[in-house]
Amino acid sequence: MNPNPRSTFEDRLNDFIEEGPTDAPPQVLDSVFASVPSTAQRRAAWRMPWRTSPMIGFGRALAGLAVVVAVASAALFLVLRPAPGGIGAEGSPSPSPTAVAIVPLTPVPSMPVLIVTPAPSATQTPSPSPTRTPTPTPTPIGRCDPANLAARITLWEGAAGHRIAHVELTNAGSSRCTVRSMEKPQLVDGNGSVLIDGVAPASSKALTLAPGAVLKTLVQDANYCGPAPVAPVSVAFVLSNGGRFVATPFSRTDATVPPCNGAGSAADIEMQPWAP
Amino acid sequence: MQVGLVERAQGGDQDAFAALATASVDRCYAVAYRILRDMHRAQDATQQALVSAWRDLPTLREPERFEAWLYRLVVRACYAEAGRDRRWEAGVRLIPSDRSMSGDAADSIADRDELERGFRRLTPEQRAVLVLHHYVGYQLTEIAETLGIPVGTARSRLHYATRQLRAAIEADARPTSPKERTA
Repeated sequence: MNPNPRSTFEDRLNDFIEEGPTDAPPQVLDSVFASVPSTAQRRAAWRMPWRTSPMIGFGRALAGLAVVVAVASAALFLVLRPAPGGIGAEGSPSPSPTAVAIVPLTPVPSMPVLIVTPAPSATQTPSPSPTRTPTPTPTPIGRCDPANLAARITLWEGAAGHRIAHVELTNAGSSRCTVRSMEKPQLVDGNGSVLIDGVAPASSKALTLAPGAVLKTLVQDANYCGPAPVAPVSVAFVLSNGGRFVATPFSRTDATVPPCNGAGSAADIEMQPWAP
Repeated sequence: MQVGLVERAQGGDQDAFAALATASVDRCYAVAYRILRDMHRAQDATQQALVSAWRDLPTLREPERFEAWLYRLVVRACYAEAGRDRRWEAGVRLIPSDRSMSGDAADSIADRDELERGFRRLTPEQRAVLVLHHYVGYQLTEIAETLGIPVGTARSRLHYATRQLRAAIEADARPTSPKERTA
């Protein structure tokens, strides 16, 4: 057999990782260049060193503890030191320079991540929140009425036997409401016939949608082997409470369906979670 | 030359950044794709990393280490992408290899499928280490610096990722191999 299975495995692994695209599609750079002018650079008053020996969790905790102790000691010193009026007294304590020096030692803010829970809507009153985490409103918010949800397909893409619909969902109602991040998707035709029926998600979380707020998703379908559909083909979402809404099709004449990859195999339709 | 561009971009020169981004985008995308195994998500991660690079460039202290720093942003963007939607990944179905095919071609496809399945079972952190090592060609110390983790952690991730991948491949091959090898 193989005299050196390890090297064979390494070779296979190398080949596997090596294969794949090496050139970025041009739209990546286009998007970056479109974003740059409106993206402010972070100030470099104190250039954060790019640590070569990263702090581990314990080290971070220790550093935090040191800062707390330093601040507490400074405060204690100010409280317990002799009353002013003696020789060399300087009057009321001025802002401590150590406190200023401590500020840059706070951990570097981490990279921003896309938050799936919707951010507060721009239509809300712009009261600055003292905390950085989005705080859900305490009042209960009801499920969105499908009649108030406006969905539309903004683009269809084809890829390797699949079709992918880019779908936008807008809360067209006048009040905040919730949708589930995942629903059961369907590919439907102009007659309302279900061409491909998806599966209800096993789990899904609630997303709060302010009036006018928009969520997006991708719906991927594959292997349609049924009769020719009636235009326009679109995507529908079946809610867990039995409601349903259909996205406005990309085109009124679009009757394109994913290619039949094999009548023996089941058709497939899946969605990504709705996200801002 | 790149250091000069980095320094100019740090000062807010958008043309300099455009030159840097143009020179780097393919490498970033290639790494992102190999971690995420999805072209669309790789595009998103690459875009996110480059926009972050522009925003955070003034905080980069050592311009000569721009490339490794950028890889770090790419890997972080991949983590965010991977964490954003696990269901999509779970929904990916691999077409079973055609076992009726004979010879090297069938073996090659089966190998690839097994590797693909095994790779998808790895955590994004493990994938990142594998890609930086096997694709970018980084050594452990460089991986550790790039990812901001101790060298020991990088070593352990690489070790366990490789071991897990090997085990996954063997497990995938085990149930079908006795009959098929003799067929």
